[in-house]
Amino acid sequence: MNDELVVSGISKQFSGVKAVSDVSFTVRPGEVHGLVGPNGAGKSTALGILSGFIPPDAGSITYRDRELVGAVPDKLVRAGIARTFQEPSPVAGLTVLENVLTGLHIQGRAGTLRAAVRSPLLRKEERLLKKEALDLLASVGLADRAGADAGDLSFGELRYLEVIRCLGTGASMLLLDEPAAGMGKTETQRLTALIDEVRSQGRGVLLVDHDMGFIFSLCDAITVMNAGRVIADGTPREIENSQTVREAYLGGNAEEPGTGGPDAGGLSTGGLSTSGLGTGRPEGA
Amino acid sequence: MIIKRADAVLLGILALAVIVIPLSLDDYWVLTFGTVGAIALAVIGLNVAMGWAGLLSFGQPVFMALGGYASALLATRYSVNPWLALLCGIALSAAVAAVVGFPVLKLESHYFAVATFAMSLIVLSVINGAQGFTGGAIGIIGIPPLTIGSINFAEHVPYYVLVWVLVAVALLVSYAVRASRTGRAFRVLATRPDVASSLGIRVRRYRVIAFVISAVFASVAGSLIVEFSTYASPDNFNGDVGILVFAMLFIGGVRTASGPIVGAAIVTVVPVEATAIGKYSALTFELILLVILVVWPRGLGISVATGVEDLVERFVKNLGKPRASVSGGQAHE
Repeated sequence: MNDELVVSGISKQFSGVKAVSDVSFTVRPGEVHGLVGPNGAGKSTALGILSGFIPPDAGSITYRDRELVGAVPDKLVRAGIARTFQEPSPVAGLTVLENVLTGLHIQGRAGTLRAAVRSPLLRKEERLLKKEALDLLASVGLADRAGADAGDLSFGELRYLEVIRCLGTGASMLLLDEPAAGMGKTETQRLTALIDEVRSQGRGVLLVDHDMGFIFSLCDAITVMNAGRVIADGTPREIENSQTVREAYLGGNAEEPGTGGPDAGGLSTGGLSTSGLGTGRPEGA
Repeated sequence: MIIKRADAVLLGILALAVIVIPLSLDDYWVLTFGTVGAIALAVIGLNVAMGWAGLLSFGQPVFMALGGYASALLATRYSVNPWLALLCGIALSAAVAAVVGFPVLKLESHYFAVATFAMSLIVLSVINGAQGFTGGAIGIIGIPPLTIGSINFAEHVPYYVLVWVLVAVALLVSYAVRASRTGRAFRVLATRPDVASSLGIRVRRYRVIAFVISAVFASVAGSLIVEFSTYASPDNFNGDVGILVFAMLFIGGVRTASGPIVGAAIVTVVPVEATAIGKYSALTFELILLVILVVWPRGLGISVATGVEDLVERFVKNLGKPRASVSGGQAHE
C-alpha cells in the first residue's frame, strides 16, 4: 500500500483564469510538506481540491492505492485525509470540549437509536471520546477551557482548536491551511511543537502558509507555487538557494501591490536563518 | 452545559406546574393543558430539526396528520389495537420523512422549507380528496380510545397524565440525542455544513435523521390529538398548524428544553383567553406574538428566566459582600 499522498497534474480554471495549473507534488508519511507562495498563487485552491471541496478540471490524487479525485470531503476524511480552514470555524454555543468532540465524530460508532436510549455501549464510547478530546485540549494547553463556550476563545486559542479538531478525526494525512496566521511568537512555537509531535506519530502534514520563517522551521520538503504553477520543489535548503523562488517573490511583489510585504520579508528572514522561528512574522498580523 | 441553568430551573417550575394543575385546577384547565402537552410534542420535534439541525421545516402538520389518520383509519376500519395503530403511525411518519427527506435535504434550506409546506398541502388534498377512505372534510368519528385495563385515556385526567409522561420522555430522548455524536453533528452542520463534511460528518444523512426524529414526535402528537377527541379532521392538521408550531418554538425559546412547553402553552391559551376582548381578539393575539418575537427573540420563557437568574445572582453577590466594600462602593459614588 502506498502511504504517500500523490498529487499529479491537477488543474482548475475559474471563469477562464487558471487558478491551479498542472500542479504535482508528493506528501510522505512522517513528513511536514510546505506549500508556499504569495497570495493568489493557488495554494488555497490546491488545498480545496485536495480536500474534495473543489472538483479539479484535470489531474489525479492518489492515497493508499485509491484514486480520490471526485470524492466528497467526508469520504476523504474516512480515507484518512482531513483539513483545517484558514478562518477558525468553531461552533459557537457549543463548549470547547464539544467542539473537539465534533472532530472525533468518525471515531465513534454508536448510532442515534443507541444515543436516544443512552445505551451502555454509547456511554462507554462517550467516555473514551471525551478522554481523547481532553488529551487533545491538554496538548495545546486548553484543558482548563474545556467547559467554556467556543465563542469566548481568543483568536490564538481558536486556531489551536481548529488544528486539534482536525487531529481528532484520526486522519493520517493532515492539510493545515495557514494554522499560524495571526499568532504571536509563543503561540507559534507551541503550534510548531504540536505539528512536530504529529509528524513523529508517522502522520503526514501538508502545511500551507506564506510565512517562510514558519515553513522553514518545520518542513522536510517544500513546494513553491506562483500564479497557479509549481515553480520549485525540494528540500528547505534547495528552496532557500533557488534563484527562481527569489525572483518570483520579488517579481510578484512588483507586479501585484496587494501581495504584501510579509511574503518577501518572510523569505529573506527565513532564507538568512532557517532556525529563526517566527522572526519574519509581523506580530498580530 | 447543554441545558443552561435558567432553562433547567424553568423546566423544574414547569414540571411542578404540570403536577399541580390537575390537583388544584378544574377540568377545563386539565383539558387545556392536556392539549398543550400534545402539541408540545410536535414542538419538541421541531426543536430537534429546526433548533439543532437548522432545518427550516413546516412539515410538522404533515406527520401529525399521518400519525392521526393512521390511528384513526387503522383502529376504525381494520380494528387494529389503538396502541399498535399509534406505533404504525410512527413507522409511517418516519418512513415518509426519510423517503421525502433524502432527495429534498440535498437542497438548500429554503427549498426544503418550501418542500415541507408543499407536503402539508398535498396531505390535506389527499385527506379531502379521498373522501371514501378518509371521510374527507367531515373526518372520521368514533375512534376507539387508548386504554390500559380499565384506564381510558380519552378521559381528561388519564389523558393529561399520558401526554405529560410522553412529553417528559420526548425531552429526555431529544436531549440524550443532543448529548451524543449525532447531536453534535446536528449543531455543526446547522451552522457550517462545509466544516461538518470536513470532519467526516455525512451532512445529508444527519439532516435526514433530524427530520425523521421531528416526524416521529409529530406523529405521536397527531395520534394523541385524534385519540383524545375520538375524532379526526383535516382542520387539525392544516398549514396554519405548521406555522403555529413554528411560532411556539420561537416564542418559547429555540434550543431550550423549556421553550417548546412555554411556547405551546402561550400560543394555545392566550388566543382562547383573548376572546374575552371581543372583536379584535385574534389581532391582539397576533400582535402579542409579534411583540414577543421582537422584544425577546431568544424566547419569552428563557429570557425571563435568564433575567431572574441575573437578578438573583446580583442579590446573592451583594449579600456575600462584606460591609466595608459596600460602604466603599457608596463612598465611591
